[in-house]
Amino acid sequence: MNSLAVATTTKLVFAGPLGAGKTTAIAAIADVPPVSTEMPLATGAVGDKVSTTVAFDFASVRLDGDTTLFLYGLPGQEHFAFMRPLVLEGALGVVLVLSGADGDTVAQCRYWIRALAEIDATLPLVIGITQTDRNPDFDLAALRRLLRDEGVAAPLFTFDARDREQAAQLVRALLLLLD
Amino acid sequence: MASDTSGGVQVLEACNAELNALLGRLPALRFASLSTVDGRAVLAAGVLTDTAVERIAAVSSSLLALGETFARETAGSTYRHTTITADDGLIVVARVPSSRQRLALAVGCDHGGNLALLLGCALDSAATLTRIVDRVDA
Repeated sequence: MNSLAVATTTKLVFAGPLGAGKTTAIAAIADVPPVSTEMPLATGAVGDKVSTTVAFDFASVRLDGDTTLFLYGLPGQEHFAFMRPLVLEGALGVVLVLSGADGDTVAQCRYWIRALAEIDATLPLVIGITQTDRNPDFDLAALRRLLRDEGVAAPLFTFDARDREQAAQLVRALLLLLD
Repeated sequence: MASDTSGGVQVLEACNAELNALLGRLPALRFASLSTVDGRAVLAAGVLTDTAVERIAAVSSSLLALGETFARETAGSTYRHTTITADDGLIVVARVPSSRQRLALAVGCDHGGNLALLLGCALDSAATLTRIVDRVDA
């Protein structure tokens, strides 16, 4: 049987709520500007955000040789939840991006780890928290307690989604989980 | 779409009338949905539950965005509409090119319709809705 030879690829997905920094992080890591499906928010700006992802983000990063990393970003809003199983199909791991500026980071974390587990409970997970400098009450220990209570063993980082190296560090951490 | 002023209410009523008139133009038409480009339902006509209205709005937004992105990425061109052929019918998703608000129109028909008529009706309705939202006399 003839078959098409394809380059080895690794698909990773960025998930998380609106405004956490998924699209920003992918854009920071990508070799070229990502494929974007941003649309203006009909309800007006949410903080600094004037647009939102309505399908998915896509970008590629070539690691070495024939290995290409495909990065996908999920829309954060709940009415696009139907996209999650579609985009997560074939993914090897997830970077969960949460905003530390939200007053409910723990609740968001609980929601998203459960939502992702409903689709695929075996997916390796790394969690990155953005904008912690905007919330003096941000409590990383509370998130660690949540992960322990949920039985989730996921590396937990704070990071700046605009910083390529910091965003790439989350991807490297996820790739280490895949080894 | 603003609905907290008398003008906004009139625009909504006029759009609603247009969606219902659209469904009357072809016997095979089954639903028409007007939504914002970020996936929020504005109006709908046809036999649809509230849940279906919300889901159609969200999916329409994704399809429109993917269509725009695909046209731009592959052809460096401007998107116009998306057509879907299913076993039991056809669906068209098109932009409502209003200068006031970015909207999407989704129209579906059963197997009794054909793509040319469906597309013609959908695009004509999108133009009418544009005039209504932009408050330009037809």
